Amino acid sequence: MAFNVLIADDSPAMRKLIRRVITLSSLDLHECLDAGNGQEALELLRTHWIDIVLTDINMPIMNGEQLLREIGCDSLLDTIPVLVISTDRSETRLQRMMALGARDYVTKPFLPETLGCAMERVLAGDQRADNRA
Amino acid sequence: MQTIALKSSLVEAASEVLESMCFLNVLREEEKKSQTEDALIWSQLDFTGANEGRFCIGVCPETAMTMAGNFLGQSAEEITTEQMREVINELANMICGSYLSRSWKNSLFDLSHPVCKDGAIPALRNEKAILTTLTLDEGAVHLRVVLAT
Repeated sequence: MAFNVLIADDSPAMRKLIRRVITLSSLDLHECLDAGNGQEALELLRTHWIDIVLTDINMPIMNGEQLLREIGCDSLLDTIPVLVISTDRSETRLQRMMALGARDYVTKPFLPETLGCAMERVLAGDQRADNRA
Repeated sequence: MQTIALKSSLVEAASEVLESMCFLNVLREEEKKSQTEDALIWSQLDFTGANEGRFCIGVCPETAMTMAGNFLGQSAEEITTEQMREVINELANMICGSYLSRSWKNSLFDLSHPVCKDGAIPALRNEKAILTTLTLDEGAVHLRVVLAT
């Protein structure tokens, strides 16, 4: 089944890279939407059907942690899986994001296949593996 | 933490990012007392948390275009100046984040949004800094971390 993905990252370069990784993967992509921060992501989540959210943590206006909190508080959104993509490889940050409801956590830099596999797992509802490089 | 260990973490972090995201191999690393080249594209960000300071990466425009092309999967000729700056900013973010996580394991940091500029990297003002220059086939990559403590 084709799916819709929402990428939340303040870096246009990173959004483009992630989009390219998804396009080149075996995942069946229907639509890929972009947001430059958590607030924009929330607005898109409330107006579009999204199957998976890929979010950075460090973003202006609303960061990834705040976005996860907002999603978790909204009964219409709280079943949408969120995969965090961050440069922060500390266990403390990882545990914090998972406690807020993230389904998986991939550290930058990442190999394209690492992100593709993590997305497949999340979309299949599986538990996270260690995706840190 | 010892300066040598901090520098080693910086070189490891930068090498990993450049190799995995830009497909560029680091040939060697050299210690430089100063980074005075004046025709650079450089990106800088501040970090706060277990330690405070700022990170800077500087490269010549041609190297920056190659990095951006490889990062975005386009030929260097297709890359706009804006895209090049966005990629250099993202590389600054990734290298700094990776470096901090390696150097202060399990500590939380906040990184500011990187700012990209042209020209020479600003001179140090009696600050504690880790300087290194990585040599690639495609040019030199100057890295600098200024630490508050």
